[in-house]
Amino acid sequence: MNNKKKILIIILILVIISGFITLKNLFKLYVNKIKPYYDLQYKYIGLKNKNLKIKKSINKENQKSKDNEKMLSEIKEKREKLEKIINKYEIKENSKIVYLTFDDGPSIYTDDILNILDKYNIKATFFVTCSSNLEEFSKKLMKKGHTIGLHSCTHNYSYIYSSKEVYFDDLNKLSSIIEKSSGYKSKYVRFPGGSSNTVSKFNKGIMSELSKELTNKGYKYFDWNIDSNDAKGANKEQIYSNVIGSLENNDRNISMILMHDTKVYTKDALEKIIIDALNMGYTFLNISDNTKEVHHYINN
Amino acid sequence: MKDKYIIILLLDIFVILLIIILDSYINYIDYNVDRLNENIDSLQIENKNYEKKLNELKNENSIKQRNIKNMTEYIDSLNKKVKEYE
Repeated sequence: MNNKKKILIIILILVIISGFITLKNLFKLYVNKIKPYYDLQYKYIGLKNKNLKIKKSINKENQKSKDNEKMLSEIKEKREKLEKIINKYEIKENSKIVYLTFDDGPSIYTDDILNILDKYNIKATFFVTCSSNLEEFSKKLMKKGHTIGLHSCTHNYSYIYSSKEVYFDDLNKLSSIIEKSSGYKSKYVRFPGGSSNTVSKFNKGIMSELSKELTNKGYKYFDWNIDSNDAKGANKEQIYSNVIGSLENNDRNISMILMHDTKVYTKDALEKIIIDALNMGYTFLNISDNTKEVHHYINN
Repeated sequence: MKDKYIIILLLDIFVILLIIILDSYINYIDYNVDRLNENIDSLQIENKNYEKKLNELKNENSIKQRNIKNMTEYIDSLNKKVKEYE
């Protein structure tokens, strides 16, 4: 074998060895880099598809939500027409109706309560006082379709129940603030402490006088038949069980629930109350001209 | 002898070219892997948020449906009473 041939054989062996090493490294490259890269690409494509699918589902649910709102507004119109007929003929109704009523607000919790009510398209009644943000909330409550009721401007028992004149001055002051800010003149009243209160006993007979006078002046006053006890310091669980417990053992057609939008636990308990009451078959309404008054026994 | 040098030179050039190409490809893959990982992370977060939103919407809608059902039953009962009366 001459030198030339030897060199060529060595070169050939070197080429084969380097080819083998290159193939091995290419395989390593495929396993460590290329395959994970394509796996990542597949994962990305999968996620992107999932993303599009979820977005589509969200749009669908949003559309459903809009349809629900449309249906509810149609139902509301029908309800108002039918309730007028029912009232006109004084037909006794036996549906399970709930009126959520919130006293003493607006407060820092009123916005959260409105958001929960909005979430389920529930309308409620707010018996307001002269809070600093009353004007802003009057507009907001009207815009959202809730009912504004008159509670008391000062909510000072010893002041408002000192005389008939003082009571109506206080009520008119509250009413005019609401009317100026929202253009709405409320005819619905709730006495601070309810018509059965005994805190007014320092002025004998004042509640009997006021209730008669309110009716004479064209107002309707509403007490309650279910007390959440939130004003008496009940916590979230107690508020929930007070309301739902009463609704469970309820043989009344109309449940007028007393709550306060000034209490943080009321806000916290509200959503569960709404969900469970709906599941129990209750219909939530806000006070309107067609609502039958719920009155306590007057003790003074 | 001249042929031998040419072959060795060609082989050298081939190996150098191969290394350059592979190196660029690895850099390209590394860059894309980083980018893909970032996109995947943000997509996963986005999907998680969307899923949460979707579940909330589904729950809300089922409660709204319940509200509509109760309202409709109420309307039906009112209708029935009005018809009975008339």
